[in-house]
Amino acid sequence: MLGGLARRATLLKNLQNQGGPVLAVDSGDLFFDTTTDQADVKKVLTKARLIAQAYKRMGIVAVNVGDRDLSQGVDFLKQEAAQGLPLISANLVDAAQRQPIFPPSVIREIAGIRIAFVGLLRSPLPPAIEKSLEGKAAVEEPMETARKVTEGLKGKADLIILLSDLGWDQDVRIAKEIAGIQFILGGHEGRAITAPFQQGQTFIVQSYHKGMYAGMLTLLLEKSVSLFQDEGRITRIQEALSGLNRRSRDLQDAKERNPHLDIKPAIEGIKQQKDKLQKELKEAQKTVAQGTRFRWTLEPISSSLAEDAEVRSLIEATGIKND
Amino acid sequence: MNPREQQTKERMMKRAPLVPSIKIMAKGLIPIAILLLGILSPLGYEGVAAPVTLTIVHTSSVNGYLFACPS
Repeated sequence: MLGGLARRATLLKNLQNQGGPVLAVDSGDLFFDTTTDQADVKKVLTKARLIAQAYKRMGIVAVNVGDRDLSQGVDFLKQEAAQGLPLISANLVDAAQRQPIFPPSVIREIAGIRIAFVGLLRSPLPPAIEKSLEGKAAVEEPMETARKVTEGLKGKADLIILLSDLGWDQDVRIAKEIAGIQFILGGHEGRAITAPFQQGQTFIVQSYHKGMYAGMLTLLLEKSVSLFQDEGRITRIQEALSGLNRRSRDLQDAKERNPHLDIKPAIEGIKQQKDKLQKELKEAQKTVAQGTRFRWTLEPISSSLAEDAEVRSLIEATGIKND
Repeated sequence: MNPREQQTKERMMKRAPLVPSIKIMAKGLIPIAILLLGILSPLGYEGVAAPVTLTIVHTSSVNGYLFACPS
Protein backbone atom coordinates (compact mmCIF):
# COMPACT_ATOMS: atom_id res chain seq x y z
CA MET A 1 0.00 0.00 0.00
CA LEU A 2 1.32 3.39 -1.00
CA GLY A 3 0.12 6.96 -0.58
CA GLY A 4 -2.14 8.84 1.79
CA LEU A 5 -2.57 12.53 2.50
CA ALA A 6 -1.48 12.26 6.17
CA ARG A 7 1.72 10.38 5.24
CA ARG A 8 2.50 12.92 2.53
CA ALA A 9 2.24 15.64 5.19
CA THR A 10 4.76 13.74 7.35
CA LEU A 11 7.22 13.43 4.47
CA LEU A 12 7.04 17.17 3.94
CA LYS A 13 7.39 17.93 7.66
CA ASN A 14 10.44 15.62 7.91
CA LEU A 15 12.09 17.46 5.03
CA GLN A 16 11.26 20.87 6.51
CA ASN A 17 12.74 19.77 9.86
CA GLN A 18 16.06 19.05 8.17
CA GLY A 19 16.49 22.82 7.91
CA GLY A 20 17.12 23.34 4.19
CA PRO A 21 14.66 25.22 2.00
CA VAL A 22 11.70 23.09 0.84
CA LEU A 23 9.00 24.14 -1.62
CA ALA A 24 5.93 21.94 -2.20
CA VAL A 25 4.01 22.21 -5.48
CA ASP A 26 1.27 20.32 -7.31
CA SER A 27 0.76 20.08 -11.07
CA GLY A 28 -3.00 19.67 -11.01
CA ASP A 29 -5.83 17.11 -11.06
CA LEU A 30 -5.53 17.30 -7.29
CA PHE A 31 -9.14 17.25 -6.18
CA PHE A 32 -11.30 14.99 -8.34
CA ASP A 33 -11.25 11.70 -10.17
CA THR A 34 -12.78 11.19 -13.59
CA THR A 35 -15.27 8.67 -12.29
CA THR A 36 -17.15 11.14 -10.07
CA ASP A 37 -20.77 10.03 -9.86
CA GLN A 38 -23.33 12.81 -9.37
CA ALA A 39 -24.67 10.91 -6.33
CA ASP A 40 -21.23 11.26 -4.70
CA VAL A 41 -20.93 15.01 -5.19
CA LYS A 42 -21.26 15.84 -1.48
CA LYS A 43 -18.57 13.34 -0.50
CA VAL A 44 -16.34 14.40 -3.37
CA LEU A 45 -16.55 18.09 -2.40
CA THR A 46 -15.90 17.24 1.27
CA LYS A 47 -12.74 15.38 0.25
CA ALA A 48 -11.65 18.22 -2.05
CA ARG A 49 -12.10 20.83 0.72
CA LEU A 50 -10.16 18.60 3.09
CA ILE A 51 -7.27 18.26 0.62
CA ALA A 52 -7.21 22.05 0.16
CA GLN A 53 -7.15 22.56 3.93
CA ALA A 54 -4.35 20.02 4.40
CA TYR A 55 -2.26 21.49 1.57
CA LYS A 56 -2.56 24.96 3.08
CA ARG A 57 -1.36 23.62 6.44
CA MET A 58 1.51 21.88 4.67
CA GLY A 59 2.52 25.29 3.27
CA ILE A 60 2.08 24.43 -0.41
CA VAL A 61 3.59 27.14 -2.63
CA ALA A 62 1.59 26.60 -5.84
CA VAL A 63 -1.21 24.35 -7.07
CA ASN A 64 -1.77 24.34 -10.81
CA VAL A 65 -5.35 23.95 -12.02
CA GLY A 66 -5.77 20.68 -13.93
CA ASP A 67 -8.72 19.97 -16.20
CA ARG A 68 -10.25 17.51 -13.71
CA ASP A 69 -10.07 20.17 -10.99
CA LEU A 70 -12.75 22.02 -13.00
CA SER A 71 -15.19 19.10 -13.00
CA GLN A 72 -17.22 20.64 -10.13
CA GLY A 73 -17.15 24.12 -11.68
CA VAL A 74 -14.80 27.05 -11.34
CA ASP A 75 -16.63 28.50 -8.30
CA PHE A 76 -15.29 25.76 -6.02
CA LEU A 77 -11.71 26.71 -6.96
CA LYS A 78 -12.42 30.43 -6.55
CA GLN A 79 -13.70 29.77 -3.03
CA GLU A 80 -10.56 27.80 -2.14
CA ALA A 81 -8.30 30.50 -3.60
CA ALA A 82 -10.18 33.13 -1.57
CA GLN A 83 -9.43 31.05 1.54
CA GLY A 84 -5.70 31.06 0.84
CA LEU A 85 -4.99 28.08 -1.43
CA PRO A 86 -2.29 29.32 -3.87
CA LEU A 87 -3.96 28.21 -7.11
CA ILE A 88 -2.20 29.26 -10.32
CA SER A 89 -3.08 29.04 -14.01
CA ALA A 90 -1.73 31.06 -16.91
CA ASN A 91 -4.39 29.95 -19.40
CA LEU A 92 -7.62 29.58 -17.41
CA VAL A 93 -9.38 32.87 -18.11
CA ASP A 94 -12.61 34.61 -17.37
CA ALA A 95 -14.87 33.87 -20.36
CA ALA A 96 -16.01 37.47 -20.77
CA GLN A 97 -12.90 39.51 -20.01
CA ARG A 98 -10.30 36.91 -21.12
CA GLN A 99 -8.22 37.72 -18.04
CA PRO A 100 -6.57 34.99 -15.90
CA ILE A 101 -8.83 33.92 -13.00
CA PHE A 102 -5.85 32.91 -10.84
CA PRO A 103 -2.28 34.27 -10.87
CA PRO A 104 -0.39 32.86 -13.89
CA SER A 105 2.72 32.24 -11.76
CA VAL A 106 4.24 32.38 -8.30
CA ILE A 107 7.81 33.54 -7.65
CA ARG A 108 9.89 32.45 -4.67
CA GLU A 109 13.43 33.64 -3.93
CA ILE A 110 15.86 31.10 -2.49
CA ALA A 111 19.53 31.99 -1.89
CA GLY A 112 19.14 34.99 -4.17
CA ILE A 113 17.73 32.88 -7.02
CA ARG A 114 14.24 33.84 -8.18
CA ILE A 115 12.23 30.73 -9.02
CA ALA A 116 8.98 31.11 -10.97
CA PHE A 117 6.34 28.38 -10.99
CA VAL A 118 4.00 28.74 -13.96
CA GLY A 119 0.74 26.81 -14.37
CA LEU A 120 -0.88 25.51 -17.57
CA LEU A 121 -3.76 23.18 -18.40
CA ARG A 122 -4.81 21.47 -21.60
CA SER A 123 -7.07 22.80 -24.27
CA PRO A 124 -9.65 21.94 -25.51
CA LEU A 125 -11.28 20.59 -22.38
CA PRO A 126 -13.25 17.34 -22.47
CA PRO A 127 -16.96 18.17 -23.19
CA ALA A 128 -18.18 17.13 -19.70
CA ILE A 129 -15.69 19.47 -18.01
CA GLU A 130 -16.42 22.26 -20.49
CA LYS A 131 -20.11 21.92 -19.52
CA SER A 132 -19.31 22.20 -15.81
CA LEU A 133 -17.76 25.64 -16.41
CA GLU A 134 -21.26 26.97 -17.32
CA GLY A 135 -19.72 29.49 -19.70
CA LYS A 136 -17.96 31.30 -16.82
CA ALA A 137 -14.39 30.36 -17.79
CA ALA A 138 -12.40 29.44 -20.88
CA VAL A 139 -8.97 27.97 -21.58
CA GLU A 140 -6.49 29.81 -23.80
CA GLU A 141 -4.20 27.92 -26.18
CA PRO A 142 -1.36 26.63 -23.94
CA MET A 143 1.57 26.93 -26.36
CA GLU A 144 0.97 30.61 -27.10
CA THR A 145 0.32 31.31 -23.41
CA ALA A 146 3.58 29.56 -22.43
CA ARG A 147 5.46 31.72 -24.91
CA LYS A 148 3.92 34.94 -23.55
CA VAL A 149 4.43 34.01 -19.90
CA THR A 150 8.09 33.01 -20.30
CA GLU A 151 8.71 36.22 -22.24
CA GLY A 152 7.01 38.22 -19.47
CA LEU A 153 9.17 36.57 -16.81
CA LYS A 154 12.44 37.70 -18.41
CA GLY A 155 14.31 39.79 -15.87
CA LYS A 156 11.86 38.80 -13.12
CA ALA A 157 12.88 35.16 -12.64
CA ASP A 158 16.21 33.30 -12.86
CA LEU A 159 14.61 29.89 -13.13
CA ILE A 160 11.26 28.89 -14.66
CA ILE A 161 9.51 25.70 -13.60
CA LEU A 162 6.33 24.79 -15.46
CA LEU A 163 3.64 22.99 -13.48
CA SER A 164 1.87 21.30 -16.32
CA ASP A 165 -1.38 19.41 -16.67
CA LEU A 166 -0.92 19.26 -20.44
CA GLY A 167 0.24 15.67 -20.72
CA TRP A 168 3.56 14.25 -21.89
CA ASP A 169 3.37 14.99 -25.63
CA GLN A 170 2.47 18.66 -25.13
CA ASP A 171 5.20 18.99 -22.48
CA VAL A 172 7.79 17.71 -24.96
CA ARG A 173 6.46 20.13 -27.61
CA ILE A 174 6.76 23.08 -25.22
CA ALA A 175 10.32 22.07 -24.32
CA LYS A 176 11.18 21.85 -28.03
CA GLU A 177 9.64 25.14 -29.09
CA ILE A 178 9.97 27.48 -26.10
CA ALA A 179 13.33 28.39 -24.62
CA GLY A 180 13.85 29.43 -21.03
CA ILE A 181 11.93 26.74 -19.12
CA GLN A 182 14.38 24.66 -17.08
CA PHE A 183 11.97 22.06 -15.68
CA ILE A 184 8.51 20.79 -16.55
CA LEU A 185 6.91 19.08 -13.57
CA GLY A 186 4.14 17.37 -15.47
CA GLY A 187 1.05 15.40 -14.73
CA HIS A 188 -2.33 14.53 -16.19
CA GLU A 189 -1.42 10.96 -17.20
CA GLY A 190 0.40 10.41 -13.90
CA ARG A 191 3.40 8.55 -15.29
CA ALA A 192 6.17 7.22 -13.05
CA ILE A 193 9.27 8.97 -14.41
CA THR A 194 12.42 7.91 -12.60
CA ALA A 195 14.90 9.30 -15.14
CA PRO A 196 14.26 12.90 -16.25
CA PHE A 197 13.71 13.25 -19.99
CA GLN A 198 15.90 15.95 -21.49
CA GLN A 199 14.63 17.97 -24.44
CA GLY A 200 17.11 20.71 -25.31
CA GLN A 201 17.83 22.50 -22.04
CA THR A 202 14.54 21.45 -20.41
CA PHE A 203 14.04 18.41 -18.18
CA ILE A 204 10.59 16.78 -18.01
CA VAL A 205 9.33 14.57 -15.18
CA GLN A 206 6.05 13.26 -13.71
CA SER A 207 5.32 11.86 -10.23
CA TYR A 208 2.89 8.98 -10.87
CA HIS A 209 -0.71 9.28 -9.62
CA LYS A 210 -3.12 9.00 -6.66
CA GLY A 211 -0.41 10.46 -4.39
CA MET A 212 1.46 7.15 -4.13
CA TYR A 213 4.82 8.84 -4.71
CA ALA A 214 6.22 12.32 -4.24
CA GLY A 215 8.67 13.62 -6.80
CA MET A 216 11.76 15.15 -5.24
CA LEU A 217 13.66 17.68 -7.30
CA THR A 218 16.85 18.62 -5.48
CA LEU A 219 18.66 21.66 -6.84
CA LEU A 220 22.16 22.66 -5.78
CA LEU A 221 21.86 26.41 -6.15
CA GLU A 222 24.92 28.61 -6.26
CA LYS A 223 25.19 32.36 -6.81
CA SER A 224 23.99 32.09 -10.38
CA VAL A 225 22.14 29.40 -12.30
CA SER A 226 23.98 27.86 -15.25
CA LEU A 227 22.86 25.00 -17.46
CA PHE A 228 21.29 22.28 -15.33
CA GLN A 229 22.99 18.88 -15.25
CA ASP A 230 21.32 15.69 -14.10
CA GLU A 231 23.49 14.24 -11.33
CA GLY A 232 21.42 11.04 -11.37
CA ARG A 233 22.61 10.27 -14.91
CA ILE A 234 26.00 9.18 -13.51
CA THR A 235 24.33 6.82 -11.02
CA ARG A 236 22.08 5.36 -13.74
CA ILE A 237 25.07 4.66 -16.03
CA GLN A 238 27.00 3.10 -13.13
CA GLU A 239 24.00 0.88 -12.33
CA ALA A 240 23.76 -0.19 -15.98
CA LEU A 241 27.48 -1.06 -15.93
CA SER A 242 27.02 -3.14 -12.76
CA GLY A 243 24.14 -4.95 -14.45
CA LEU A 244 26.34 -5.80 -17.43
CA ASN A 245 29.12 -7.04 -15.12
CA ARG A 246 26.62 -9.31 -13.34
CA ARG A 247 25.38 -10.67 -16.68
CA SER A 248 28.95 -11.33 -17.76
CA ARG A 249 29.70 -13.25 -14.51
CA ASP A 250 26.49 -15.28 -14.91
CA LEU A 251 27.58 -16.29 -18.41
CA GLN A 252 31.04 -17.32 -17.17
CA ASP A 253 29.41 -19.44 -14.42
CA ALA A 254 27.14 -21.08 -17.00
CA LYS A 255 30.21 -21.83 -19.16
CA GLU A 256 31.93 -23.51 -16.19
CA ARG A 257 28.88 -25.71 -15.64
CA ASN A 258 28.55 -26.46 -19.35
CA PRO A 259 31.92 -26.21 -21.22
CA HIS A 260 30.23 -26.72 -24.62
CA LEU A 261 28.25 -23.49 -24.24
CA ASP A 262 29.30 -20.77 -26.70
CA ILE A 263 29.25 -17.54 -24.73
CA LYS A 264 31.70 -15.64 -26.96
CA PRO A 265 29.10 -13.63 -28.99
CA ALA A 266 27.19 -12.67 -25.83
CA ILE A 267 30.39 -11.62 -24.04
CA GLU A 268 31.42 -9.59 -27.09
CA GLY A 269 27.99 -7.86 -27.09
CA ILE A 270 28.35 -7.02 -23.39
CA LYS A 271 31.83 -5.64 -23.99
CA GLN A 272 30.55 -3.31 -26.72
CA GLN A 273 27.72 -2.07 -24.48
CA LYS A 274 30.19 -1.52 -21.63
CA ASP A 275 32.56 0.48 -23.85
CA LYS A 276 29.67 2.70 -24.94
CA LEU A 277 28.54 3.23 -21.35
CA GLN A 278 32.11 3.96 -20.17
CA LYS A 279 32.32 6.72 -22.78
CA GLU A 280 28.92 8.08 -21.69
CA LEU A 281 30.04 7.97 -18.05
CA LYS A 282 33.20 9.97 -18.76
CA GLU A 283 31.21 12.57 -20.68
CA ALA A 284 28.55 12.75 -17.96
CA GLN A 285 31.17 13.19 -15.22
CA LYS A 286 32.70 16.03 -17.22
CA THR A 287 29.43 17.87 -18.00
CA VAL A 288 27.84 17.38 -14.57
CA ALA A 289 30.85 19.03 -12.94
CA GLN A 290 30.44 22.08 -15.20
CA GLY A 291 26.78 22.99 -14.62
CA THR A 292 24.25 23.54 -11.87
CA ARG A 293 23.53 20.06 -10.54
CA PHE A 294 20.15 18.54 -9.76
CA ARG A 295 18.75 15.17 -8.72
CA TRP A 296 15.31 13.73 -9.36
CA THR A 297 13.88 10.86 -7.35
CA LEU A 298 10.43 9.37 -6.83
CA GLU A 299 9.91 8.89 -3.10
CA PRO A 300 7.33 6.20 -2.23
CA ILE A 301 4.76 7.33 0.35
CA SER A 302 5.05 4.04 2.21
CA SER A 303 3.52 2.75 5.43
CA SER A 304 6.89 3.31 7.17
CA LEU A 305 5.96 7.02 7.26
CA ALA A 306 3.80 7.82 10.26
CA GLU A 307 0.55 9.65 9.60
CA ASP A 308 0.61 13.33 10.48
CA ALA A 309 -1.70 13.71 13.50
CA GLU A 310 -3.10 17.07 12.41
CA VAL A 311 -4.07 15.88 8.92
CA ARG A 312 -5.30 12.56 10.34
CA SER A 313 -7.69 14.41 12.66
CA LEU A 314 -8.92 16.57 9.75
CA ILE A 315 -9.77 13.38 7.84
CA GLU A 316 -11.46 11.81 10.87
CA ALA A 317 -13.59 14.92 11.38
CA THR A 318 -15.16 14.39 7.94
CA GLY A 319 -16.22 10.85 8.85
CA ILE A 320 -14.73 9.49 5.63
CA LYS A 321 -13.02 6.19 6.38
CA ASN A 322 -12.03 4.98 2.93
CA ASP A 323 -12.22 5.92 -0.74
CA MET B 1 70.24 70.34 33.13
CA ASN B 2 73.36 69.00 31.45
CA PRO B 3 73.67 69.05 27.66
CA ARG B 4 72.90 65.35 27.46
CA GLU B 5 69.69 65.73 29.42
CA GLN B 6 68.83 68.74 27.29
CA GLN B 7 69.29 66.68 24.12
CA THR B 8 67.08 63.86 25.44
CA LYS B 9 64.37 66.31 26.40
CA GLU B 10 64.41 67.89 22.96
CA ARG B 11 64.18 64.47 21.33
CA MET B 12 61.22 63.57 23.50
CA MET B 13 59.50 66.84 22.70
CA LYS B 14 59.89 66.09 19.01
CA ARG B 15 58.43 62.62 19.39
CA ALA B 16 55.70 63.54 21.85
CA PRO B 17 53.08 64.90 19.40
CA LEU B 18 53.71 61.95 17.10
CA VAL B 19 52.62 59.28 19.60
CA PRO B 20 49.11 60.65 20.30
CA SER B 21 48.54 61.33 16.57
CA ILE B 22 49.27 57.66 15.76
CA LYS B 23 46.89 56.63 18.53
CA ILE B 24 44.18 58.96 17.25
CA MET B 25 44.69 57.83 13.68
CA ALA B 26 44.59 54.17 14.71
CA LYS B 27 41.42 54.75 16.71
CA GLY B 28 39.79 56.40 13.75
CA LEU B 29 41.05 53.95 11.18
CA ILE B 30 39.91 50.75 12.90
CA PRO B 31 36.18 51.40 12.51
CA ILE B 32 36.75 52.70 8.96
CA ALA B 33 38.71 49.54 8.11
CA ILE B 34 35.94 47.36 9.58
CA LEU B 35 33.34 49.29 7.61
CA LEU B 36 35.34 48.98 4.36
CA LEU B 37 35.84 45.25 4.90
CA GLY B 38 32.12 44.83 5.39
CA ILE B 39 31.31 46.76 2.22
CA LEU B 40 34.04 45.41 -0.02
CA SER B 41 34.15 41.73 0.93
CA PRO B 42 31.43 40.01 -1.14
CA LEU B 43 30.35 37.53 1.52
CA GLY B 44 31.08 36.85 5.14
CA TYR B 45 32.70 33.59 6.16
CA GLU B 46 29.41 31.79 6.54
CA GLY B 47 28.15 32.74 3.11
CA VAL B 48 31.19 31.80 1.03
CA ALA B 49 29.47 30.77 -2.18
CA ALA B 50 28.43 27.46 -0.63
CA PRO B 51 25.68 25.91 -2.70
CA VAL B 52 22.22 25.87 -1.15
CA THR B 53 20.29 22.64 -1.52
CA LEU B 54 16.68 23.37 -2.41
CA THR B 55 14.18 20.53 -2.37
CA ILE B 56 11.03 20.87 -4.47
CA VAL B 57 8.42 18.30 -3.50
CA HIS B 58 6.08 17.55 -6.38
CA THR B 59 2.76 15.77 -6.65
CA SER B 60 0.47 15.40 -9.63
CA SER B 61 -2.75 13.58 -10.51
CA VAL B 62 -3.66 12.93 -6.87
CA ASN B 63 -7.29 12.68 -8.10
CA GLY B 64 -8.86 13.28 -4.71
CA TYR B 65 -7.29 10.23 -3.00
CA LEU B 66 -7.02 10.58 0.76
CA PHE B 67 -5.77 7.14 1.65
CA ALA B 68 -3.12 4.68 0.55
CA CYS B 69 -3.76 2.70 -2.64
CA PRO B 70 -2.79 -0.91 -3.44
CA SER B 71 0.58 -0.53 -5.17
